[in-house]
Amino acid sequence: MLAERGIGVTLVERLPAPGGQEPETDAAQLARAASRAGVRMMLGTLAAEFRQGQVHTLGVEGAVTLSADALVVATGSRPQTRAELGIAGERGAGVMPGSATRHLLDSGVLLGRHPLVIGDGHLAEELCSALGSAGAITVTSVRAGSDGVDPWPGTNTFTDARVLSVHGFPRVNRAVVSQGDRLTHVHADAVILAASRVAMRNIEGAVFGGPHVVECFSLAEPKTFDNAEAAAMQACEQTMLTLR
Amino acid sequence: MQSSGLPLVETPDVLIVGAGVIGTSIAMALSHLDVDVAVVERRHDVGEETSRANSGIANCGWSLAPGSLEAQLVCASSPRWEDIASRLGVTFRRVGLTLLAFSEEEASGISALCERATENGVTVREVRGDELAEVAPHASGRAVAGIYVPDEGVVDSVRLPVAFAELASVNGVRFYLGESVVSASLGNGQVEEVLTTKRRFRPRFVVNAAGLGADFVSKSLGGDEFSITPRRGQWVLLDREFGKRVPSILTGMPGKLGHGPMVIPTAHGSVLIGPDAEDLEDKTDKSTTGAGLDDVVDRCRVLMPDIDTKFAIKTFAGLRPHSDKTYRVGWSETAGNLLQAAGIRSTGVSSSLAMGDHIRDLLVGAGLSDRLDAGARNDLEYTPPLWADGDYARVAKDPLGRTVVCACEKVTAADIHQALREPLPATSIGGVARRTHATWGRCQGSACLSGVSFITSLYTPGEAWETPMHEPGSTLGAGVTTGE
Repeated sequence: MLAERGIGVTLVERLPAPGGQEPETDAAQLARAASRAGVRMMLGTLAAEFRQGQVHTLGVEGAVTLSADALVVATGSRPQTRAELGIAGERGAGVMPGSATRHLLDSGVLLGRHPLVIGDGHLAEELCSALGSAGAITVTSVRAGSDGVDPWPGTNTFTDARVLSVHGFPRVNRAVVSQGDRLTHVHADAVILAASRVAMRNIEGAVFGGPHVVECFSLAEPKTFDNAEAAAMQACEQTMLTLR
Repeated sequence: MQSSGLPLVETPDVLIVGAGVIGTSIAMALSHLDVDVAVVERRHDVGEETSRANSGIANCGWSLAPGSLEAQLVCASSPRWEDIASRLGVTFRRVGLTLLAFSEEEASGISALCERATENGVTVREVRGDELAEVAPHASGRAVAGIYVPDEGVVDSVRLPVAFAELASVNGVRFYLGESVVSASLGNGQVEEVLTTKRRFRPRFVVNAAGLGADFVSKSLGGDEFSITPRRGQWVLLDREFGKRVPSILTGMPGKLGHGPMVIPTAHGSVLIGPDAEDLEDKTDKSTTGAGLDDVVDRCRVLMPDIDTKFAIKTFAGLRPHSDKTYRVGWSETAGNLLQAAGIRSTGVSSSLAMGDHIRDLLVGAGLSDRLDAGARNDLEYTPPLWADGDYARVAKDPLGRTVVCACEKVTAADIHQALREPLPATSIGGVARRTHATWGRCQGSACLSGVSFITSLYTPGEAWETPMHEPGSTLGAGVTTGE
């Protein structure tokens, strides 16, 4: 969008191909269109730091510093961390970010025989299904929502609930689930954090925005192309304003 | 002692029990002598217990009881930090500390603390008004007075015992990890033989640096009977972005259980707030509680009202070894060749540099050879991670340095491979994290855990799912996937 408006654009992507950690089917097509519009692609490269109009990158081309009038941060999303979810207790193995769980399952690693998955969205639903198919004996789903929630197939579901604490060392073996005043101790040998997507912020100097920084995050559930496109359009307009 | 059937394989001059920051500092000090030293540690890695969850403060000794061994060792260690940090590749910053008083009644205790600092040879000054705001711009405006301590520092206390141990290892000290002391036999008032879960030792001297387990180890070795109480402290780690607002340490007037929660910039630029203090019975209870963490945040907001938990990256708890007598350091009264280095509750990191030398000198005084090992090294070959200096060009010289695995902490594949190949290498994902900070950033491994675990699995036995997170039994997964 920016290149089509005559702006010189460099796209810096940590991974070796466009599309992010969860590639969308449209990614390759969009990348080809961006290239045709004149976007310079720096793949396999991390945008590490934004400081005084300079972007410090590290990647296959080595350490490259780019001058930029605006930095558009479109680094995607991640599930909330344990600290963000306010989960107390012990720090035994088996408490896993949902995004890592997906990769590890793809690599043949079954995270738990009795996993508990926290989250209401698409990632949580997909992981519940994938864990069941991959050999989990019981899958517990802990969801914050209640209205109109149908349990996902094959899961023991807690609705209107949150995990207060996890216990067990060296490996987690139990989670305490709260539903209002009611506490339930659930046997779980893995606790998968797949709740509420939040922005992935890891560019030093631009972690929480700032002058010449434009944020482009689409955090709505479910993830759709339309939502992503709307976020991109908004970021495009904001970038044009920043460049004026 | 019952016969175990274990072969007698070790006859070191010195056997050190415990590889925390104290045990490893002693090992490092002894490694410069031409003597044979072995270390046993029950955890799978060095610095895995008390030493992994502490404040990281390198205290300059300003508030300690003058004349005490604790004050002597802390004050002797303080000027040495810049030198040792550069030689071992450990990050250290002398950030300064401000103690805050919130009423004139509290402020009335300032002069006595200043006098104590002077007795310890530490320069401090009372600050009020504009000067207080200048030395601690992040402090609460409600503070009426304070003490500014410019020499207080912070060190990467997670890497510190690793670095101590690695230099000791390079100089020939043998580390036996995942191995516990079981019992000992005494003869003529001396420890003759020490039985661990895997081998027998017939050491000339034994040093008890077992931290939380020092009471059990002492008893097992026929040494003095005392008790170590685990004092739990809960912590909240805040993002480096918030760290830009925290140039120095803030603390309040000391109470019965110490200074209370503090606001501490880490060596790495993030911020620690905590700890609280709660004496427990269970030496394994490192669990956090919602109420405890809330209390830490509330108390630290008194010091610094701008603290915002939206910057919280991680919460955790650590256990300090609280003894009925602090700094139980010296020869055992019941086992003549047993040297205690126990009961070091809050200043283990701060006193560690001088503690190693102190224990070495006690051993030499008892007959250990003081001949120097001419080939011993004083520094480590270590490539610092990107976050240590922000030198992108340096990092990019190594092709593996161009692959950033942990985007939050800017940890490269080169850093992770180094951690797994060091003289005392990481043997778990947690060990890699402690040496590199990978998975410790804002996303807590969301983007990098699979990559870090993959590289770690290349160096650890078993299948990918068996890659240890930390202690035995902490496998990454529970098995291999089945079905589609």
